[in-house]
Amino acid sequence: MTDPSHGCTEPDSDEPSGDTSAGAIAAERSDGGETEVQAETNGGGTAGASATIDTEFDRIRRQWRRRMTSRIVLVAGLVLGVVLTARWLGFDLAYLYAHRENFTSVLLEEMLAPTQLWEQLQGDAPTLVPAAFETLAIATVGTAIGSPLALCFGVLAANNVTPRLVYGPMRLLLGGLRAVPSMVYALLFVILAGLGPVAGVLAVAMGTIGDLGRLFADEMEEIDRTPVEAVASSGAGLLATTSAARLPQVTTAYVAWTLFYLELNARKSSVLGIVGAGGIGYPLIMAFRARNYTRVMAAIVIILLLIVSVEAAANRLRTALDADRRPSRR
Amino acid sequence: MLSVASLEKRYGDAPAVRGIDFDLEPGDLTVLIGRSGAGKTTLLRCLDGLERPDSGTVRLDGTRPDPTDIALVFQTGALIDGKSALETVLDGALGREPVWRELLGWHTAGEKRAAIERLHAVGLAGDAARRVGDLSGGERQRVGIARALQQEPRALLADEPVAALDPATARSVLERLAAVVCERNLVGLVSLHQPRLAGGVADRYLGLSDGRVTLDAPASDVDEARIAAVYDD
Repeated sequence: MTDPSHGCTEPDSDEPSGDTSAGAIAAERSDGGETEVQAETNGGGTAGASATIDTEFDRIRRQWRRRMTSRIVLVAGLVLGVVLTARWLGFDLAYLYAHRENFTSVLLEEMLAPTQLWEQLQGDAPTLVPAAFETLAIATVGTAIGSPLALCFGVLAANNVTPRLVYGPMRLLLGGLRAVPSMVYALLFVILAGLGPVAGVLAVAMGTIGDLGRLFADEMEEIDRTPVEAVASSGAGLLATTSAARLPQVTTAYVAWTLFYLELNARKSSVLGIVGAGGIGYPLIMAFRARNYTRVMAAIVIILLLIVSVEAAANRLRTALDADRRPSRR
Repeated sequence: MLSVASLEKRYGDAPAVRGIDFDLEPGDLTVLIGRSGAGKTTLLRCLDGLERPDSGTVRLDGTRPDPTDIALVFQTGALIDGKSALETVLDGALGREPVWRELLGWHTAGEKRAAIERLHAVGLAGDAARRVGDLSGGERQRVGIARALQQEPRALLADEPVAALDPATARSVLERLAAVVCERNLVGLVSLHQPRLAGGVADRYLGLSDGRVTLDAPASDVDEARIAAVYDD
């Protein structure tokens, strides 16, 4: 422990020293450009330091109050905006409360009645389980078709790989692909491929190209430049440099994103059947139309099992890949 | 011989290298010294072809060098952690190998054998399969040198290759560099921030101040005062 009275050496400071009998301390306010002479002390360094702390404290307190006020105004504005938008949409809590019986009766008496649900699941298993596998197949094949194309488009859309003339249009193309929802793609591809899972596969692939392509491009733009320069300095061309120094830096991220998109696509595929693009969405929408809510719940349970299984498998794969690639630093 | 004449490079209005002239003999390791911002990195990047000089010429044995003729070792090694030492060294041959080989990761047996030989040459025998991310700082830097050698260059440049290393490791990396330059009869030019580390391995000193050559002399003629003068300018 150091005794403060025994000549401790203070770090370099702009403060006046203790034996200065008269120190004028000027504190410049950084906000607003004002300059104020806060304290002129005749009582030595301690009083001077105290005055400086008070000045600093007052300044920070004023800043903090201004910041808090602006935050409160911002949050209040956001809340007001959401409330007004919800009212414009016809959102009415009183109406929902008044009609709660409709929902709870369907939920408790038809959807969540255990014996009824179990019997429905047993009876519908021969239809729902193959439909679930079809959904999984749509997601897997769609991701498998979409992700290599997304890789190519993503590399071309990265501003540190290609010139503006290439990456600009590629970014626009990816933006355009992303702007169309999967359901719309599914409707379009039903015209091309007819009703069934092929339309679903194409819809999933198109969505994957747009989304993953953009993510891949963003990842590529974040890579370290020096390994690329090191390979380029050996005389390697753009393709060789990309293969040897750019792609290895993003492989882990690309694999992780692709697995994440497999999960997302499994979710998307489970509703594509609503527009006739195959999978479990078709029995789901048919059950809704027939107002057979127990069957709706049976389909939801199967979808839930499917999604959880895909997530678990993707997580295991990700962990295995991470363990394989992570270097054990000394 | 590496001959540089009237080399100039500006970044916007700021001159980085101003009218540099020198000749470097093969087999010699020349140490490039100078304060931060003196133009050392710009000079090396111009020589390697990573930067296009505004004016001046670079000649290797009287002709304009091919991109594969001059290799550059980077300060941090510029390596990718996920790759093995062997894969990294093989990247050095990309300038002369067909692209499809790299895309498929299908290198010839001859290239692989040569890469392992380069790793042995820099003291990394038995480390070909290790991931770069698992290597120490000195080992990483030596992988960088092996990759440069795989390029089969006629001139080997290094931009502060030991800046991030402790003095003992730095010294060992420099000795390894000097040995390969001498054994393979390469033109060697290494920029250093710690000129004392170069004692005994440098054949010649080149000093830069504010983009100009202020020292160009054999190591035998250079003492601490002359080195200090480069930093004082």
